[in-house]
Amino acid sequence: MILHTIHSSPLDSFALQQCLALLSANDTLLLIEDGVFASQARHPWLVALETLSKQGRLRVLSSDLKARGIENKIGEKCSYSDFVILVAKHTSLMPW
Amino acid sequence: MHKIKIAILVSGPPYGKQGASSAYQFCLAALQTGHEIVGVFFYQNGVLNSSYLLSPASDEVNLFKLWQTLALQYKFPLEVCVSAALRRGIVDSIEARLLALPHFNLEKPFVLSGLGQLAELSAKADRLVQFL
Repeated sequence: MILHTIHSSPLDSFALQQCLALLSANDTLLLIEDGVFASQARHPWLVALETLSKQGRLRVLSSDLKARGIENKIGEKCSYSDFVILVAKHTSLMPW
Repeated sequence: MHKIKIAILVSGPPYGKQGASSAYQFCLAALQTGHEIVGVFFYQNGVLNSSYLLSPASDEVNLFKLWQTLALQYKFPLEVCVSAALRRGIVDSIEARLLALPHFNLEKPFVLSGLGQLAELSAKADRLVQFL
């Protein structure tokens, strides 16, 4: 049970693509920093993210969305304190 | 809620990338919700956060000061990888003397330390959270 944090935009790096390939069934994906663009921009991995979103396994850091003036189209918004709760819930963390 | 012990690894610089600032905000949220930060380890370009010569404009966020204040308030160590630091011109008074340098720019609560300390921090903690 791993919490994966994506720090860069899928239009900038392969982080999201590589992470999705290694994601296990009970892992959660958290988009932070430029990673939040993945919740809005059109990119080839949107379908995979939509599936995660429906399973409640996609979170997006709200302050980073706000800092970029965008709204998430998929995933559930979370605050820094929700981030801390996610860290406590998962057995380990993996930054991408 | 179950309280946990968290170790933080910062490998991003204070400017140009967001990681260090995210790490600070994460620490703040964790401490405010009753969790414990056992320590912050600055590694790779993250060591650049620890120079007390950083002088941002007075109306800007001063991340260095924020780390300093938080660490003193909640009594957790700010460990800086010595080999990453020396390569980037981050030197404490002892290293400055050993290397015959005229100045130093690292002081408490930041301390020079090594990867062994990172291993110890992560062994002490329930979770290790890295910010790039």
